[in-house]
Amino acid sequence: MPREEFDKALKELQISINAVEKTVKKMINGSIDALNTRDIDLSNKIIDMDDIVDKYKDEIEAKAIFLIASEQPVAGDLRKIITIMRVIMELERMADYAEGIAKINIRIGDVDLIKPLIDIPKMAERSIEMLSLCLKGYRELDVKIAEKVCDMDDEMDALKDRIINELMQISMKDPSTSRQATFLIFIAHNLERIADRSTNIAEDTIFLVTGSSRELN
Amino acid sequence: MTINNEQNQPKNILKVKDLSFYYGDFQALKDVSLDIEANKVTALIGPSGCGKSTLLRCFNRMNDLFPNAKVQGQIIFNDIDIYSQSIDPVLIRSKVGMVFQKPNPFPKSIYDNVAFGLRINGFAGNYDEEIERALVQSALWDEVKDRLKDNAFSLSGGQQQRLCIARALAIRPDVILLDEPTSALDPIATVKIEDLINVLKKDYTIIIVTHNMQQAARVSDKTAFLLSGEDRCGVLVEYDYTQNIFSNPKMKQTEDYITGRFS
Repeated sequence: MPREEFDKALKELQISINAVEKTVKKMINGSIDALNTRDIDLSNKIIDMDDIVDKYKDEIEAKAIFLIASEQPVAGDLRKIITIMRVIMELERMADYAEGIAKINIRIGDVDLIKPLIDIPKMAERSIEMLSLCLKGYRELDVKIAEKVCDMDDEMDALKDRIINELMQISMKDPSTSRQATFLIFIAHNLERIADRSTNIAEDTIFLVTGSSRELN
Repeated sequence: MTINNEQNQPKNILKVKDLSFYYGDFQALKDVSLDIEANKVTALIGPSGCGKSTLLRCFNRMNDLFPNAKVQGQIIFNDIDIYSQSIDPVLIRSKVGMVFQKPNPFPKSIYDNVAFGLRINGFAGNYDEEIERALVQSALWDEVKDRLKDNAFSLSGGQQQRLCIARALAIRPDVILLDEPTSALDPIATVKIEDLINVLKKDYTIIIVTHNMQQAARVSDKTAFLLSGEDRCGVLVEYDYTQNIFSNPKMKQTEDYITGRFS
């Protein structure tokens, strides 16, 4: 099969994407663990991990840009490279949101939480499930999986709304909780945005497979 | 208010209907049908031997010059079947000009090269004006206006090719056929020809054969992909707007060819 070097380069980029996926999942999981256990050291580690993702993103983008310049891809090949660049951008933004959660945890400080966390860990779990699924759909070029990811986003929106309502009620009853309640709302917002990024990757997959863009969520 | 849809309809200056072409017993093209839009650039692409140059030469009956050449089907040019017996191929060639892969100026002056077509067609008007017009249109005038009596071979390869385009334009054709017009040129001369194609399409219909995929993507409005099968006979696989062909072709064979996965 001709263009072996080009296909090899695409595979290498794919391996880097897989590595970023693992790191981002660790960051999301770790940021919520640190919140739950009030672990400031772990939050600092999560913040440091964002540099790893940024470095991967720069490398992947530079390689993709050079592949476009050197190979002048068209049609499906061009969509593959464009999609890689979009996917790494989404993953990098997810890492930023996880880093944001770690920073919020540090700002909450060395105090107990105003309530046991139930829906926030559930949102984190769902967001990681969506991330796994959207990248599975991307790797397997499966439009059905991509569509399923977009359906899952509705649950994330509902969870976020529930968290906001609950925290607003708590802070209205006891205004001394309002500072932390606001921070926890930000965290729910960050998790919801992480899920949105997964739906973006699902939409990118549909573009990759069909050649046309479709807004799903 | 009524909307005049006719104005929005593209005008098809050439209509190819079920065209088959034979060199003696060998069939080079089979049942090709496509319409060429006026004032657009149409690219013909495909691997060597797919029949794209044969198809190009059919548009001005250049293939008549091959012994035992045979055509079936029709090419309608402005409502005239160019292969009907009453049609003089020389008249067709004056309306459908051609520029070849390698620049082929005559061993004459720059001026006489452009004047050549006018002279053999018995042009009785102002030669200087017509020659200047053709050289301006081919973006060569500024480079040669002070040396029109110099031999055409004193020009660079890229200039010679633009001179050949000027020679074709001098007799005011409707269509210009370009057979790999930049394959013998360096990148700078290539860009000049490509820019020229973009300007010329305002006044002319252009059909270009090219092996350079990026060139087809850059300069053409529509692209036709031809391929020869096991019988070595060329068929039209896909014909669409260039943006569609190079972004999302419908046929797998087209995708394989343009992405270099053709084996």
